[in-house]
Amino acid sequence: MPTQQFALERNGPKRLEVSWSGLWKEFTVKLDGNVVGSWTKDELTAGKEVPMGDGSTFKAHLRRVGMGQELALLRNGEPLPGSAADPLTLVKTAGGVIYFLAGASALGGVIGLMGVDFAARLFGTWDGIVTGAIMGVLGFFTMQRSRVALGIAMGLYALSGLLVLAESASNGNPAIGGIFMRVFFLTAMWRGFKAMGQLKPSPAPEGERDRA
Amino acid sequence: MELCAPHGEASVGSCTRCGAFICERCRRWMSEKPFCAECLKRLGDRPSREAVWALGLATLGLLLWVPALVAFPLAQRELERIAQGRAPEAGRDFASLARALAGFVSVVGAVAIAVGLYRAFS
Ligand SMILES: [Zn+2]
Ligand SMILES: [Zn+2]
Repeated sequence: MPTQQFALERNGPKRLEVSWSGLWKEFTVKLDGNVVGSWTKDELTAGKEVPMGDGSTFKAHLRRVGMGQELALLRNGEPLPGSAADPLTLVKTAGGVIYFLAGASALGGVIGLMGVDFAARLFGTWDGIVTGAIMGVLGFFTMQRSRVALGIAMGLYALSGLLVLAESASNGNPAIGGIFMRVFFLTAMWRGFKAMGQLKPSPAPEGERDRA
Repeated sequence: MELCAPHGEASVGSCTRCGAFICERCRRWMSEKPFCAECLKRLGDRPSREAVWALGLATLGLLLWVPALVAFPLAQRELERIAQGRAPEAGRDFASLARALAGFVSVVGAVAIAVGLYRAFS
């Protein structure tokens, strides 16, 4: 039975627990151990909203995103910190994807350098390592919320995908499998790109605003 | 009833660091512990220099390997400091990513160098 815990406030105690069984059956949400509500699979895909007792509302919504789906957990319309639709989570995921691609390229390059033929064909040798390092630098600045770095990483990854596709198509054997993987990773990066625009300033400026 | 100093509102607890009464509006969280806004500001809401350096060095390790060996213990120590409330929470993502990347790069690089040396001398 999958269970996940969330805090209502960022970095706060994880008071909210969601659990379900199988493919989104018996979806239940508890706050401090007390049941707030339960959702059938249809209610979950429709996005049912329930009152939470402290005047706020809570909505669980299983929604389609690109080729996959995400479980959006919203309190008063705002994603819970750390949940799938949280902008900070989306940016972090985009950074993680770029680092994953960087690591894969560098690893492929190292294996290619050791003389393993298929890795050398797929990733190259030193060029694979250098590509990995470049992606790593873009990942580093993406983690620092640079939209430019994330945009460049997306562009490079999409462009290299097009080159692979064109090359494989000219060999009469288009690489369809790789496209799905690329679209998947590109979707994650694109969502991070959009989320960067929604990021609110962190707590300290808010504290200053309180005093003003 | 205890009141917080900045707002004069009913307190819901006290700051983990300075013990000041905090109301719901003053309350900030770090590693699931409550802090007053002032203390959180002192600790900073941005990743520490150590956390950023750890990730930077791990990244550099993708090309040069050796920086990853430095990044790993740096990231590990930063994660411990965050857990103890001595470094800003915002650095957690940086430090945990840095630790994972540095570990990966260290191992891959070590294996590659070992294989290279083996080949060179056999
Ligand atoms: Zn304090
Ligand atoms: Zn207050």
